[in-house]
Amino acid sequence: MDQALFIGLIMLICVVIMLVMGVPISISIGAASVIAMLVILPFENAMTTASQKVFSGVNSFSLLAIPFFILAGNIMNNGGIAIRLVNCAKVLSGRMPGALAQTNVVANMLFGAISGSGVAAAAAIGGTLGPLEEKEGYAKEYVAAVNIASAPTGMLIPPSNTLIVYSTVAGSVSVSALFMAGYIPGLVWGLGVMVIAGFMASKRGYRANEKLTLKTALITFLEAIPSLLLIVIVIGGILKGVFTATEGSAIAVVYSLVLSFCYKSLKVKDLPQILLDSAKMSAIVIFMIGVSSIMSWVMGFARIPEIISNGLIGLTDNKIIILLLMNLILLLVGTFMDPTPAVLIFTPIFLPICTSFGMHPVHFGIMMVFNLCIGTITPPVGPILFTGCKVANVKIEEVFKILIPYFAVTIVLLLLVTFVPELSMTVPNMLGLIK
Amino acid sequence: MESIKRIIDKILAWVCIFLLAAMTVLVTYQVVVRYFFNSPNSYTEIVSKYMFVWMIMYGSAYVFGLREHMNIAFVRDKMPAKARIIVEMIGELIIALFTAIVLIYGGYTQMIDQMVQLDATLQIPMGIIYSAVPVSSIFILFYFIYTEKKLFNELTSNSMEGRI
Amino acid sequence: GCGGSAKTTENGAAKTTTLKLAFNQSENHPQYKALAEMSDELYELTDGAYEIEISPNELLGSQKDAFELVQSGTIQMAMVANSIVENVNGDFAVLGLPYAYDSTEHQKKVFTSGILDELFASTSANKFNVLAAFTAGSRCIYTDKPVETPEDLAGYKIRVMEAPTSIAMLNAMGGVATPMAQSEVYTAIQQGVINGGENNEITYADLKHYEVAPYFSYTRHLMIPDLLVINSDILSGMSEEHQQIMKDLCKKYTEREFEIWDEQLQSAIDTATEAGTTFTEVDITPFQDAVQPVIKEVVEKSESAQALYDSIRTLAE
Ligand code: NA
Ligand code: NA
Repeated sequence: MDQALFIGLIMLICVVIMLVMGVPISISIGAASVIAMLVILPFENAMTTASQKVFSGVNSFSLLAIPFFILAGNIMNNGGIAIRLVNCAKVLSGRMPGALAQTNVVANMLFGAISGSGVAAAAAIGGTLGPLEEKEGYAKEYVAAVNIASAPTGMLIPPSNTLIVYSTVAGSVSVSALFMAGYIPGLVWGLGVMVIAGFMASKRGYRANEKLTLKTALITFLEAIPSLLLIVIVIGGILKGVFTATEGSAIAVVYSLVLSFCYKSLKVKDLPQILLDSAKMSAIVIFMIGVSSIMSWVMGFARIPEIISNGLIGLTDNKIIILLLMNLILLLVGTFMDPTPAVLIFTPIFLPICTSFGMHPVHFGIMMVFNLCIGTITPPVGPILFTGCKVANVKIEEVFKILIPYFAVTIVLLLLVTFVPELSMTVPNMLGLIK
Repeated sequence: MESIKRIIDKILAWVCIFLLAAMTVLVTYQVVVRYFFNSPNSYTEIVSKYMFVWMIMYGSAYVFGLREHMNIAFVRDKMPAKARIIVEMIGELIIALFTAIVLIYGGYTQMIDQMVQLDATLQIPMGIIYSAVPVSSIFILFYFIYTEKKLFNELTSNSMEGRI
Repeated sequence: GCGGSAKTTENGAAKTTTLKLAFNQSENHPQYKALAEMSDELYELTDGAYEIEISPNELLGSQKDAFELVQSGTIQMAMVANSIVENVNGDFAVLGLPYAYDSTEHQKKVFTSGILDELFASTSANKFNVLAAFTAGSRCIYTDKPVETPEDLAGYKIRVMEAPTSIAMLNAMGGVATPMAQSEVYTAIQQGVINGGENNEITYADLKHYEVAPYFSYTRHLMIPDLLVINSDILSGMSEEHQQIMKDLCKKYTEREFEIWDEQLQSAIDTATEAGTTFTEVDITPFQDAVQPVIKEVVEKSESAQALYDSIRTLAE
């Protein structure tokens, strides 16, 4: 009991010191865990166990989906697919106040519905639409805020790399069920952003001045069909059991590649760079998964999750308070940590508590990822916040004020997702994916 | 040193490019064979999984060379130049220690143990697949020396400027 | 410096050595329940010198990882699949052969009669010993119709474990073996990617596979045990008295686990029946005949394997 507390403290202190020093997150987690291990195990046992965990943390077929979805996203970004999705979104958002901003939201959802990554969406869509919006007279900060606030939907609307990571840590939670569970929360988030964006736009007097004829609308829509078909093929294929999520991600790569070659917007000689960029991004994420599995193991060995959960349950047996507490912790963690390491660290601690009072692991996963998605757009550390500011060329301080109403709305939605399981569970239940 | 780094960068980059391309082909082939020819194939899944492990290990070594692993830099970046460089140098040292002790020493021991274990499907020693852990880490150590040298130069040239 | 690093704590007058045991299933599993009871009794009989601390739900890693940790002495005990130990000593494959046992009674006799003692001790050079073989029930075929003969399985894709013997066995039984991760099976059956699976009643009910494959046929083709392993240095470091206590307890709780298994089996069958499952008794002879080549291939690998198989079969009468 005492030893577990001691080990937990060592890990916590070491991680925080190294993170503040700017040591890579993966190494901070790994080194802190190894230091803790040396307290409980002889040197050689600690080292072989640690390296075994790194290897087995990476050695998983379902994680292959991550490089594939990243690669598909990068191809789409280079291959003229993104622009067709933007055009399609333009038609869909029609003549709402701040139509171009609404277009940005819808396009982020569509792009995220294929690439599995919010950062990729923020870069691709923000980069394409931002200049157009500014030409219409939209303020830079407003444009950036809408792009930033809506990009995380890509991590909830399937496919989602973060949900894949969650399913591997949670153990035997179906990826398909998680994917389907993300639909409504992702869409609700997008709609929430659209409402705020529209409200702000009418206050600022942004209107749509370009009237689309039915004919152009139809043509734009038809042009986007091959791109939209990608969603149908990948998600449909996974649901129909034609392929698994991992295989579906490879199909997404092949399909977007073929489409891009057809559009002649991609040349074979561009491929090595795209492949390398994707491999790099995947290595960063998955190396972290491998190394953090050392920490999960140490926690399991020292029985830390058990102690935390006993502590929490001893504090209160009120399910609502426990969930609020967890959300608060995750929101705080999310302000300075990315979703992937946060999922890796907190799933083993929180999930057993939640399942003990009957929460479904799929519901918990969605709640957690929804929460951590908010963290991707909050300062000081937020990958989507950074990317969105970079493509719009604005400072974080300038965007922050405009983002506040969006934070408020997402937190309200988070509470809904937490306490209304139906938001997450209805779709997978309907499709018979939940047992 | 510069030219050795360029060569290592090139090698690692092409290893990653090749592996990711090959994985895409293999997994697609797996779907096609099963769906259209109704003959499930257990090799493709395992081979592509091991390629993936290799890509991640060699890819992350490459990223250490670029110093692009995800970190939280905003505190460090607010420090005065000299202090920042020293903190960076300590950070690199932590990376090197973790790499040497866990990934190379622990990984090598594991690799040797795994040489007698055969993969059930491929019938090759697991140690060969496992070798990616210690071998890729040697490159991380090289990058460590390279980066430390560069940081050290930066540090000394900074203090020179200070004196002038 | 490997092995023998169990945590020892001062506990009043006596020192208690905690044996960490890795377990891959939940606390509801019959094996967990038997092990938990065994732990209590070990503590009592050794006057607090030893206790077993079970970590369920793969908390300490997959079975393969946990097995390596036992060998290196990082943890002391683990419950692992027979196939993992097969990698070290091929003779263990005999314990998991199709139709090696005629019935639960026969299996119980094999596991408690002492004929496996030599086999269990054979691995100490690899830094671990096998303490006991616990039953994991008998695996039967379930799909969308009763399966009474190998012909009934023609063209039927049945999920099997990812092991060469399992694949060969199911193909020999007349079906099309399809290896797949357990987590995918429910949806795969529902969507027609496969036609069914093969498992024991408890897993069948736990995973609600009766919803998608409501015909459970008692082919009883596999009765693969799980093995309780311990680090050899830990075992040899125990006093002779304590070793004897451990040995006796393992035997006692091997039998006890059969009992717990039976109790849970009944409630699993009730659950599935209520949900509309049809259980069909099957004449196993044609299946037994069909898998003979698979058995032959394993048994003929070594004389010791043949001898082991023969002594198991002798107990069948
Ligand atoms: Na997505
Ligand atoms: Na944040």
